[in-house]
Amino acid sequence: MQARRASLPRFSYARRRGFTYACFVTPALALYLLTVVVPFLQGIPYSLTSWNLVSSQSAFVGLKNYQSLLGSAVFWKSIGNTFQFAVYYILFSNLLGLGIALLICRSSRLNNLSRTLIFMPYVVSMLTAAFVWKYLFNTVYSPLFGVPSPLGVQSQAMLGIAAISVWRTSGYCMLIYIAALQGVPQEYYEAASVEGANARQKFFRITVPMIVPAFSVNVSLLLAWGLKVFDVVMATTNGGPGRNTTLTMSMFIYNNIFGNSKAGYGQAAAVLMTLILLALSYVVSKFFRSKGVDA
Amino acid sequence: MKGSLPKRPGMAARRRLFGALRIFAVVAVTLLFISPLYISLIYSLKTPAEMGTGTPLALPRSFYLGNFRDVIVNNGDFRTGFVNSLITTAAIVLALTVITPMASYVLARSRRRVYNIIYYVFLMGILIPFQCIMFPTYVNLRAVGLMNSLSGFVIVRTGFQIGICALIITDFVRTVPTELEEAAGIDGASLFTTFWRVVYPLMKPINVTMLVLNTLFSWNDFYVSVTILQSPQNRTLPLAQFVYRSESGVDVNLAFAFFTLSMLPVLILYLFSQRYIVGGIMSGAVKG
Amino acid sequence: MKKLISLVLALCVLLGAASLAMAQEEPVTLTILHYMGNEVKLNAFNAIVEGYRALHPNVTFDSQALSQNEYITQLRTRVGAGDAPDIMIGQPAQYTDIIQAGYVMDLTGNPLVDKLNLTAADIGDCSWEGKVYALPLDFKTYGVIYNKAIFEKYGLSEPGTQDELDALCKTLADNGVDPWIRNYSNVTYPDIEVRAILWPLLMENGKLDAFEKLMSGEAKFTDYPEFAKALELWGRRMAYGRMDDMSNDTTMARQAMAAGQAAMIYDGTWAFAQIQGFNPDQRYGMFAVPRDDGKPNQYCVQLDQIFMVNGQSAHVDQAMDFMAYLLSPDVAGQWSAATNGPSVVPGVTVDMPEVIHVAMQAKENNNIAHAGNFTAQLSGEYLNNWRAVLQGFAADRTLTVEALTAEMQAAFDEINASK
Repeated sequence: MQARRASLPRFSYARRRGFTYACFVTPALALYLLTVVVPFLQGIPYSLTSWNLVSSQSAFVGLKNYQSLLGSAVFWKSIGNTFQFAVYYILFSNLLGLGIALLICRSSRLNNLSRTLIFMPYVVSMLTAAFVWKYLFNTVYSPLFGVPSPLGVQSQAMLGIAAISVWRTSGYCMLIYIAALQGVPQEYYEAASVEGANARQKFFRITVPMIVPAFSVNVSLLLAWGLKVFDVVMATTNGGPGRNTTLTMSMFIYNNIFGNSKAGYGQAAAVLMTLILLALSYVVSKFFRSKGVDA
Repeated sequence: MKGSLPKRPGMAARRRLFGALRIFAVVAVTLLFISPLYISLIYSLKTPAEMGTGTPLALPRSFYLGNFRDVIVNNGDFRTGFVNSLITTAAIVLALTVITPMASYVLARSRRRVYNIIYYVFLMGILIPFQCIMFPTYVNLRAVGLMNSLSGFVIVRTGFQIGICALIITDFVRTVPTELEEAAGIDGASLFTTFWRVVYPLMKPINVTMLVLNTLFSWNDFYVSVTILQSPQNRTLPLAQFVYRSESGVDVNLAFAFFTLSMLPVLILYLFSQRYIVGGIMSGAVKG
Repeated sequence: MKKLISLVLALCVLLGAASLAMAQEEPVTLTILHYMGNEVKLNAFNAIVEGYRALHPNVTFDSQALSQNEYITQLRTRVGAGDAPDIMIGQPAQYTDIIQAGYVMDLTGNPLVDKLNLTAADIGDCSWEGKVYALPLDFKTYGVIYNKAIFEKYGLSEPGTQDELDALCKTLADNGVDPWIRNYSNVTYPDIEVRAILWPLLMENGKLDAFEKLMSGEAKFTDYPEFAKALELWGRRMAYGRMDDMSNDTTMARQAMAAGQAAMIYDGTWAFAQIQGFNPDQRYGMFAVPRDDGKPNQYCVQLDQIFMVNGQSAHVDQAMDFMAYLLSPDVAGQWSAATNGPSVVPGVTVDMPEVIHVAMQAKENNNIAHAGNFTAQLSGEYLNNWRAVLQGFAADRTLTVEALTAEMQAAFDEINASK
């Protein structure tokens, strides 16, 4: 009798806890499954059809969409463009972010204020940033330097687009670098000074190895953002100037599904894009893991 | 030898010079970064007539508020967009602030396999680009009649944000000690009460950070809304802006007034809560 | 028995009349999707809508303006979502998938079309595969709009040949005046500028199915020397450029034109109200882009505001009633007066500015190349690629005509391969 009384509450407590846990997880999980996981799984069969957006007629075509995508110069061009953008974006955001972080990593009134202000562009929507910069390139930059707006020159358009994005994200990278720099123990530098190391040696032997985790965060984050680039191109060049000069993967997909009414074909491109994203994220995280970072 | 170094006469002067150069560099870089925002503001404070004269970058002669008035009073698209953005952002942020901490708490505390699997499902999900689920989302919303509706947008935008939020908050909860909840449990409080009375308040720093960041993401969203919302009465601010600029024959000052007004709410939010955003990003908690 | 039957009949009539009356009272909302984005057109259209509502208080309008670049995508997205509007602006040949899906009403033989007494070319422009699918309100032409004060200052007159145009540009440039202001960042403009020479050449050589054959892959661009000629002359015009040719948007270019920053702009009749609005004191003239072979220069003509009616809509009758109202001489005249859009509706007499008058005169004299004469016009992906490649020609002046033609062919080949 006594044993039963003692075990009953414990049993029901564990069960109750299990039930409460399930209740806690259910809303988020259900919504997530419905809006992300299920559509993702649906997308795979859709990519095997010749779905036309307007009339909803679709026929199973097997791997034909994938086949013609892999043979499509435009699709490859969009991948190339996206990579080009991602390289500019990651490189310059990190260089600027790290440079500024080194300049203002110590806390002072001026440094804290400029930190706040330099991060500010990140808060502005990509779309607004793109519109503002489009005007600025044409009405301020171009007359000031006597050169055409980069958005109108084929060889520079992607660089111009990247500049807008870099302006927006450098502040983000800067914050992560500042956090990392502040975490480097001052004693290391002092010890190095005692041993007669110069500033360059200190930077490459102490600072760089200590902030590798920050590199890792910034590179993987910007890689994921950069490969999805969409709004900024839509708002500035819309793929031009000229044919597909700045067309990105995301735009290729959007244009095919909605603009050209080739939903099955566009969906196949979306599946390929996801694979590319997954593969690259894996490679990058593996690279940093080999450098001893867990990120 | 070490002690004699600073005493060399040239050294102090060089240091002062470096200090001055550093301050100059900091100021220059900062101004460069905020100059586009400055230009947006002054463009929207100038009359069209003033644009043609003199340097476009100079401060406006008088603070002309006519452009703002024109956008607010005469531009129905702006007003509709503004109201829709407010409603949807509030709904999305509220939903995320309630349901993700609940889920994250369980993911952090329970050692059961099923929750571990769920954690990885969330983790895989954040790697899926929206482009990949864009068309299926369109098909599903169409089937249930939620295409072109604000509620459809709220549901999809919230769902798409859950994965990353849940992961960040879970990582945070793992750092929160369990003693307090255990004490509450011994006192006989139900788990439900314990969570809301004891744990949720402890999660405040991360919750506020996420609240601010989610506000930014929803307010600035373009790629989800452009898929779901088409009719003018359902457009959010970025969509209204997207339609507004191109062919409609707007003059530059009005366009910039429109841009400035759409940036203003998030800039104000940022300046008031920058401690949380900056703190959140610097603590390394926020990765997306 | 007879009594009973007559009673039933009377009841039926009564009920019928009552339901008819009720049907007329029933509130109806007509959704109109269009790209009449600029203020002038938008206000004029809203005024007409209000006029109609005064006569039919039960009808409300949901009139939605989209930007022209986004229009096709947005229309498709909506139609695909089962939310097709009642009335859609647009030239039928651009929306064949929507027609095929049954959303566009066949208006062949409709009295409303007959009443417009359209020319064969006009009919061609609102048809697809031999059936009429749209109702036009006005037409458009494009040409060189020039600043009269600048021309007078340097003693210049409208050029009749490409050589004269070159000389004119040189005079302006020598005097430090920019001959042209351009807005090639909008992909429509390179396209309509190439047409200026291309369409008249194709038409006089009887190659009316050129676009149809290019899209089907039956013919290659190199089969038509007209393309090379049109590009060559465009290249000569582009020899005189400005730094902002590729980065001005449409409005900025018109503003600069109105401010007298350049002598000429290649734009359409639709632009004129706005250009004039920026600076009412400026005087303008218009001429057709000159050729280099001494033959008469022609304007290209297309229908402008052109409406398709959703045949599956629950309010088809109401929509057609509105169209009849819109296309009545009074209302069409009201539109033309407000927008400077030259009407196609018979009986409209409105005083037009000189520039528009020139265009109307050309159409009356049939000194035009009308889009409706082609068996098909470029549409969908073909049109997008055509425009993008042309924009590339404007952006990269080192490109040769041959290289450009090859790129265009590659683009078309690839579209056909993906089908």
